[in-house]
Formats: sequence, C-alpha cells, structure tokens
Amino acid sequence: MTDVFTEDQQLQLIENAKAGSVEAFNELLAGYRERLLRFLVTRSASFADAEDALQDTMINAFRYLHTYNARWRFSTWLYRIAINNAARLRRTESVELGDLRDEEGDPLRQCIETSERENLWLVARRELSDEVFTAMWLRYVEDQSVKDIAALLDRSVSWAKINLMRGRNALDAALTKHASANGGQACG
Amino acid sequence: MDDLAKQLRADADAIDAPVSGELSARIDASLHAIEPSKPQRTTRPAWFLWASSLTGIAAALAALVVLNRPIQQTPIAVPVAETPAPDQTPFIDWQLNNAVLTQSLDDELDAIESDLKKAEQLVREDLNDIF
Repeated sequence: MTDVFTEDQQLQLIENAKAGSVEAFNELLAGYRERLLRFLVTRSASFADAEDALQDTMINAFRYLHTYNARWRFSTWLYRIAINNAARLRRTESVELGDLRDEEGDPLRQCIETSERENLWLVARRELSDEVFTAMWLRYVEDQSVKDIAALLDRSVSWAKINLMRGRNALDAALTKHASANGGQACG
Repeated sequence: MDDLAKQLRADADAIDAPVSGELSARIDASLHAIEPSKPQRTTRPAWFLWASSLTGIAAALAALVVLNRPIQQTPIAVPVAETPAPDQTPFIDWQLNNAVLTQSLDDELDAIESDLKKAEQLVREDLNDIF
C-alpha cells in the first residue's frame, strides 16, 4: 500500500489543511483511515479503543500538521501518531499487550473470519515483540522502507534490518511447525 | 515479493475493520471543532537586537582581555619537611644583677661598658663553641 496521492498533490493538500481546511485534510487522509484502523485493531484492547485511537490520531494529525517534515513519507508520520495514541490508551487503561491475546475480547480475532489456517498476524502478535510486530506490519503491509521504519521506531537501520529478518524467521518457524503438525507446507 | 510477504499482505487484507459511518461523523465533528496549531514564532522588539548585539560585543571584549592578560606564574609550592628542626638556640644563663650606684656616673658607665665587653666576649666564645 503506497501513499494515495502524488507528492505534489499531497503537499498541496497538506498546505491547504495547514491553513485550516478540514475538507483538504479529509481528502488527504481518506485513504488512510481504514488502513490505520486495521493496524490499531492489532494494538488495542478492544475495537472501541481502536476507534478512539483512530479518532485521536486524526485530531492530533490535523492539529500538529505543521510539524510534518516532507523529508519523510506522510504515512510514516501518521503511523507514528497512531502508535503513540494506541500506547497512550493502553497506558490509561493499564492494559498490557499480553492481555490483547485473550481470545474472548481480542479485537483482532473478532475482525478475522475463522479459517483453517491461522491468520499470520495473529501468529506474529503471539511470536514477536511489540516493536518487531510493528516493523513487520510497516514493511509488509505499508511497504515502508527500512530507513523509514527505523526512524519511526527510533531505532537504527541495522536494528530494523536484523529484526525484520528475525521476525521473518520466527514466522517461518511457526508456520513450519504448524504445517508439519497438519501435514502441509510452510510458505516463505 | 516472496510467499511470506504475499501471505502477510493477504492476511492483513483479511482483517475486516471498516470505519463506520458513526466513527467518520465523530471524527469529522472533532476536526471541525479544532484548528490546526501554528508554529510558535516569538516576535522580539527592535531594541532586543541592539541589546543582544551589545551584549555580544561586550562578551567578546571581555574574552579578549582575559585571553591577553599577562600570564603570572604561580609559585610552585615546595614541600616542607614536617620533622621538627632540632632546637639550635643555646640556653644562655643570664646572670643578672641589679645595678647599685656606688660610684660616680662616669665610673659606673665605664664599669658597665667593661661588663658588656666581657659579656660580648663570653657570647662570642660560646658561639664559636657551638658552630
């Protein structure tokens, strides 16, 4: 998933939104709302929390649009706000990420149709740390560059490369284990 | 894109999390209720420029004075032996007598001078013995 607009279109919309145009801002973020909500569902204790985090993300992005640096992709900047908001909500409600794996109230499980194969993001959330999960999501869902991922997570590029590789290996191992238990083949 | 990457993408797409109309309306209402904040720019009065320039010049002059000040070498402290020096002052047993004027003042003066010469001689001898 790449950014929705060309660079020039995006910069023009950003300038208009900075001047106070909600319409320009909505147009700018129209393609991001669902993508962000999908990500926030994986980071929140409930679907309602994910929605609240999305709303806070939109508000903060609009309010602090002047802090956006065009050196980075717009989606990188948005994701940073979203991650902070989800973490803040969890802190407010004293929810640990481990609690999100509860099958009953887990919003991610609720958003995934039951199938024979377990969704890889459920496996990823179980097998990977919070940061590595986020790095994997940004890389494989949002097509973010390793450099952008490192900047977003306040880590070095080397850290991002190593942990993306570790994430892949951990998922491969989990899939291999799952496949061998079911007599099938792992991907990767 | 390898198989794992494709599967990760497909599984992300399989997460069904639509933004409801109610949430969209809520977000829109919130956005209309706020204004984007502007970058903070502090405007300073014109005299501030002069004051800060003068302060800078004064600081530079002070730095020049300090740097060009003749260097005074501080005396190097010499360690002093802490062992007490031997008492080199000889004990002098002054044999003092009250002067009793029994003769005329001139005679007394001569006698005193003679006594002083003798005393001086004794002191010299004692000093020669010591050193």
